[in-house]
Amino acid sequence: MKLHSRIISFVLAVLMLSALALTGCGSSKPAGQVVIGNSTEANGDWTHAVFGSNNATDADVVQLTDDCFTVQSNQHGDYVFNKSVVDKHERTEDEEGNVTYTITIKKDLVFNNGDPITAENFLAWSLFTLSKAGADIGTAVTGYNVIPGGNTYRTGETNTLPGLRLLDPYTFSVTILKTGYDGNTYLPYYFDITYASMHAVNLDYWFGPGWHVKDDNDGNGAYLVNDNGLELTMENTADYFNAAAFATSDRVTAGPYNLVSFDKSANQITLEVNPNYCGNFEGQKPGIQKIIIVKTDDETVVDTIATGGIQIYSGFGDGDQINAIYDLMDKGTIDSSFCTYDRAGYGYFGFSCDLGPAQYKEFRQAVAHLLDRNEFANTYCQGYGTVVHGPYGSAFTMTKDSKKEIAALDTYDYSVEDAVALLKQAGFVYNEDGSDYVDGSGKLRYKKVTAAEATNYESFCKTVGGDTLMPALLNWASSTDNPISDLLVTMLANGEGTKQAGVEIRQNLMSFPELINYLYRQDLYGLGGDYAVPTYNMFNLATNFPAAYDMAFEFTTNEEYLAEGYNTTHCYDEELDRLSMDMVYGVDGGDYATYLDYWQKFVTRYNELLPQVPLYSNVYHTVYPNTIKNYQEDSFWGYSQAILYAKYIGD
Amino acid sequence: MKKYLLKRIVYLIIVFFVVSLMMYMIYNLIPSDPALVQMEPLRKSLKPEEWTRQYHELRAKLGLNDPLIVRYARWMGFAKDVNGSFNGLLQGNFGYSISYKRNVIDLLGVPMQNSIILNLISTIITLAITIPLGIYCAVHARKAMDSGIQVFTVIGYSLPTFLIGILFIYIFAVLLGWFPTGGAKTPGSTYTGVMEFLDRMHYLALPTLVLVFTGLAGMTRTVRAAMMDTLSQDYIRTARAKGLKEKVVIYSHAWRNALLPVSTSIMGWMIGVFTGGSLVIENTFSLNGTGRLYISALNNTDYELVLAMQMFYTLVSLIGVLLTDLSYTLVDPRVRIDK
Repeated sequence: MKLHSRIISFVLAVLMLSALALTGCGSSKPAGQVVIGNSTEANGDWTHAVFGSNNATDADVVQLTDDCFTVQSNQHGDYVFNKSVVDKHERTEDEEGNVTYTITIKKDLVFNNGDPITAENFLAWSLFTLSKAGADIGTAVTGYNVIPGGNTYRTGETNTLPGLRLLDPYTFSVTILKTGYDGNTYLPYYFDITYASMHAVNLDYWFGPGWHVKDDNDGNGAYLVNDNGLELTMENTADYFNAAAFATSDRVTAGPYNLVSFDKSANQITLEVNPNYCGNFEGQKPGIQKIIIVKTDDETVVDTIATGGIQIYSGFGDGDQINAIYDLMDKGTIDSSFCTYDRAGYGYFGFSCDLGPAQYKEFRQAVAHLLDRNEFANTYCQGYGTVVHGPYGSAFTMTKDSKKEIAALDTYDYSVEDAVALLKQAGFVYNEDGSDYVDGSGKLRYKKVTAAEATNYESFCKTVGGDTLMPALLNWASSTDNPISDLLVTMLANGEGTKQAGVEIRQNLMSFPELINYLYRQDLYGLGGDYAVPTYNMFNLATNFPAAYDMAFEFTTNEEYLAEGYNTTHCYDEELDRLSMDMVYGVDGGDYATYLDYWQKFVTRYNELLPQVPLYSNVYHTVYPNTIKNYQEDSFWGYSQAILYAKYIGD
Repeated sequence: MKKYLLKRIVYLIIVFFVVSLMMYMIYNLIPSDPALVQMEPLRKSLKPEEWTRQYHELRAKLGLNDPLIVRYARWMGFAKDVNGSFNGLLQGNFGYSISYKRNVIDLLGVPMQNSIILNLISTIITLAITIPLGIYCAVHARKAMDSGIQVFTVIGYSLPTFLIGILFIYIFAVLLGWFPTGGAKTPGSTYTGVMEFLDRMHYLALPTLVLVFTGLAGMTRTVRAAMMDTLSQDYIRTARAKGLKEKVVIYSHAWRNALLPVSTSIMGWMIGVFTGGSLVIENTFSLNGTGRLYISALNNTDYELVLAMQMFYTLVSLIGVLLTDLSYTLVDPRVRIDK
């Protein structure tokens, strides 16, 4: 009996192991293909944004093909070391406060063409883009201010970079100065880990044959050298560099996929699995063999999904389109599912807090009370939207860790009574003739102000008996063909509550570039000097937060910075400025507790001062086929990252 | 003839430069700062002093601080650029696209090829339909069939193109499943040769159908009007009185004489093949053509790209008008150009 049971147990164990092995084999082999629609047309710039920012599709293709980084951002937008690439890492700080990251990479890394990846490949990109040759080619990089020796290396005075060291074939280091060459303080910096984010490039492919990275261990740092005696100049490298940056096939990379082809004529990008890929920061490798990215028009995207033209489309925010796709699923026209996630950003209307009545905190709060934001979000997003009460998104780790603080924020619910009380508190208690205002009269309220307070708003003000009266009137810069503007007109500017409270919001339609000029107060070409004069005190725009939540300089009070377009809210509050700066430049890298404390105080202060009023935050919907499983996008986790976890399970 | 041709070429050059000056001035009146467009994405990654330094450096590099007329002269190639060399349109430098981050000349080839193919196919099909249709309508003027054709063709002319595009997508792609909704080839296909050609044609069929439908009314009416005018002439009555067959009267006598005004329209259409990128069609069907490139450049305030395309269109149009005038001599022996 015992023997029988042992045999049975043994057979079962063998069967289970076989099944596991078979399942394992099945899941480790990528299979199938998906067609992904994208509303942004690819430009074909496959660099990591060295020529300025990449457009969304280019950035996704770069992510999918060239993500062999030492540091990556995870599903929550937090930066982490990539365990598939980095064997060990160390952060040290010297007595002057300069920080050095020393990184040892794994020894078995290879490019898609089989070439081995060593420390050289991780240093090469920085050594080239920070050099004079890189500058001449037009690389828009910033590190030369913070890496020791970067200033003279950038100008070509030196050809070695002491801040980058090649310590052995698999170890390198990067040093960041506490005080940069421009005189700015760069450390402490909460996100200083980003300075250690370097990626592997194939030197032959990017710069031509014969290039190597060397370090003579003489303290002068690493440098690029050519076997054939070529100097590091634009002339000697530009052709290779540009060919690699804009290649349409056969790129030498080390990401999860290879670029098979970029057909410009058809706006179609074909990618296939790179069998040499080492995995992402969680060791994840792709499960889908082939990805095709096609340009899709927004007007016809639902029809394209209905006819099977595309299978994945990320980030639907339009309620009509979401409902139409739900209908297609219900009718069985398509065999697909939605994954949903909150947008890391929102649409808002913001104030110029130094102009007219918008300079008073109570007035801004009163205007917020005059709009039913829940109703606004519901109407605009057709049920697929939420409302936030400060500069955050629900996906942030900080938001999740600040439930109590978020709950304590003023939600500025729709209330004409509260708005009136705040307007009175702000001093808007007069009629235009200087007589006392009677609540409910429906007339425009006025406030007695000084000449300084009325600056640039004189044309709206009245002078009665030596007193200057400023109206409760917002001069709104509104872009044309904007459905948000239309809804704001209906629900706020023409809202019954606005009239009852004695407030006027005057819409001025203009093109978007013109609106931006007024927002930044730019004096262009010396032709349109009017832009430099504060004219409008309300703007409606939208914002998306990057993974690194860094608000430094957004609320600066420095006049020189203001003149260059910083702090477009013109909210001059010392505390908000200090909090936004100290949140990142007053916290050591990785000190999350201190960062979170600053973040909570910043959000609370912002909510009180209200330089911007968030209107709606979309709940994005991504459609994907049921032929794949484990597909989940998130606020900081787009399709180019989520696709790695998807498995093809067949039709 | 030579003297006339020379005079027209001189006019053409003058008009080209006047138009270029006007275009340059107009686009530079639009309140946008190319340096700011390029530098704005870097605002977060640079400290303010560094951002400001780079911004002003870029403005100087782009020559944006100089008077407008100086910038025009540099762009055209009449004056030395900031690097001290003549490097403008006349020297073959079409400019640099700030949104595509490449030389403009490298961006035009593929979209132009796509637009030309689409326009050429749709123009040939439209002409092949509308010329016989116009003749038929003229011959059967004011009869039920003529009225029916007039009404049918005018639908395509009256309705907005995007509406027709979406309607056709719904009917022919979603309901009937005959054609794809957009794009230029089967995603992921690796066809070559005939299969590749057929695949491309399959994807081009629906946009072509829309272009043909929207273009029916214009040429049908032009041909109909020209033919009706010719058919009322005395020599047509004489031909008929001589007992010539109706076919001979229509195609040999009437059509040849009606061809003069029609040829102008045809020439205009053929110019359109090279200059016209249909923004609406290209957007609706996700095709990479010049119309789409143009609107993308406008939206991105990429004015060097816009100006290069405008000047190309200007040049083609001017040459096209000259060729149209010269073609009169071929079509109508009565026209002689001596001065």
